[in-house]
Amino acid sequence: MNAAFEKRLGIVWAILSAITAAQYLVLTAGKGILFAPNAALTTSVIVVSLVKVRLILREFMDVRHAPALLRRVADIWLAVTAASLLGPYLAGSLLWAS
Amino acid sequence: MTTAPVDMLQDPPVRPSGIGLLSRWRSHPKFELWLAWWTMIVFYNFFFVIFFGVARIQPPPDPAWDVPRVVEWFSSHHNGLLIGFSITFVVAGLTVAANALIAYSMWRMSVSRAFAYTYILIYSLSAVPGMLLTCIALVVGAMRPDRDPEVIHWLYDFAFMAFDGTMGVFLIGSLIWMVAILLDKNRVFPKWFGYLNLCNALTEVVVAPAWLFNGDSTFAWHGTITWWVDMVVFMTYTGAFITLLKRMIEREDFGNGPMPDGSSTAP
Amino acid sequence: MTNLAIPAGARNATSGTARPARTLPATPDIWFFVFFEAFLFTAYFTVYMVRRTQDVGLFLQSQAQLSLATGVVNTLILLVSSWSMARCVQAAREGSMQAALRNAFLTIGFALAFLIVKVSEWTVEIEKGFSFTTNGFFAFYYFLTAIHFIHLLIGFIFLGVVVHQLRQPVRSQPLIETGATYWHMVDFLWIMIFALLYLMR
Repeated sequence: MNAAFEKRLGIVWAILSAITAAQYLVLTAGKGILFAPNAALTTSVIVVSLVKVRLILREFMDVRHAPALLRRVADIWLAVTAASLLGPYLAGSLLWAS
Repeated sequence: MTTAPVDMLQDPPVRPSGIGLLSRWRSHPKFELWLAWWTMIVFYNFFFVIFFGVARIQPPPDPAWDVPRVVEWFSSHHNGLLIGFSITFVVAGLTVAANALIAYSMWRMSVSRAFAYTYILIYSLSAVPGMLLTCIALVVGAMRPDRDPEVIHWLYDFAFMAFDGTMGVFLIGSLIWMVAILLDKNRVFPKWFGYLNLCNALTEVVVAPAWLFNGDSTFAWHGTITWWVDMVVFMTYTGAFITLLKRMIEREDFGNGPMPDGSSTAP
Repeated sequence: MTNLAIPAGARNATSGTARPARTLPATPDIWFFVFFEAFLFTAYFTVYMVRRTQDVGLFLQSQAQLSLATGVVNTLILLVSSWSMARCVQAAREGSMQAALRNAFLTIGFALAFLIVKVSEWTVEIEKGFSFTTNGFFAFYYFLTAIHFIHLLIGFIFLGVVVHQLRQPVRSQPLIETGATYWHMVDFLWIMIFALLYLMR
């Protein structure tokens, strides 16, 4: 296999797995696992997860080599998903705070 | 969509003048296909207008309602149910045109005849529980408002469960069409529509929780996911296949090999 | 199944390493499917988020009943399966069929591992007494994991087509990439389900 490309795929996989491990470590850092509402944590979980998805799309699914239309559709989907997940969550936590 | 009859008049072969409009249409080689397509359009218009506008059983009411609320629903929908469904019983048979045209599309593909036969069989069966049983149960409920409220409540559950009960049949129907399209070499439909059949089939699976929940606003028969999201997919699917069947008729050359591209076939 | 070898978007069939600057992987048709499903799942996720705000306490208590470690293991399995799938596509592009087949079988193996972990996780939750109808959270837990699981099962058909193509003397590269594209979708949808069910607070 093309050594440079193979190395790149390996690095992408390592980053994705490291992020997953980091997410686990953050949640289990204190005494036991955290189970309380936490807007900062949730926002970063959703954003970081969408970054993982974008890495899979760009690198594994080869969207970075694709025509502009596909790259745009992918980014639009990511943006719509970010907005429709964080929107209800943040609106809900503001309601709870008040 | 309204341009189709004009095409029918303009396309050759047309006999010399002096012959009536109907026989000129009749002599058009695609007359039968257009007849089936327009019958399908007429049926879907009746279906949506009656179910959403006249009988107003869609979007569906709440399955968690108590007996007095259900009886009240029947009395407020009394006229709509009787008038709407009396029309439905007249036009229900038109569904055969839609089924026949879809079966024809599979007949035109490079796949076994078994696909078309299975599709016709399975959809002929599903029209009975999915549409007619629902209508019959609701008309029976509306017919005698002074009936025992418990029986009215029973008819209400029966009608909407019958409606959801066809989903498994539609699931298999969509999968049959999907496999035929993906295997086809005659390019009758674009492959993305084959995959859209899979999307539609998966939303039929999503209805399954409606059998377990009767008060949940997400997963019961009127739920956000089981009804609203599914309906968006179903509308997209229906719109896509009506448009693609029209393009198929326009491209049809009555041959056995790959269909010509036609002017407007780009996916 | 050989009829599937007629590719809808065969116009970008390429073999070898040199690829034009901008080419569409797989076929336009499977990309239509991937983003249709992606938007559909976004709709499911949004409904989950809205329902969650209506009963945050219940959702948090119920989340505590899930095994975070099992979720992490499932995620790592799918990530490694995506990696082997990407390597399979790259090997096939370069014409090294043995490497491509090996990676395709690795992907199938990881898919089976995910399946086993998921079924045993469901078994544990059901034995603890948490079922589909237990509460609002568990309805979503079983719904999202099950609909994803069905996508995973369909994935075996796509992976089967990939293996079949790799064994043909004349293979369809777009069809191999179609199977890979589907498989990566199964992976990235799980990444979001994992975030919503196991990670968020």
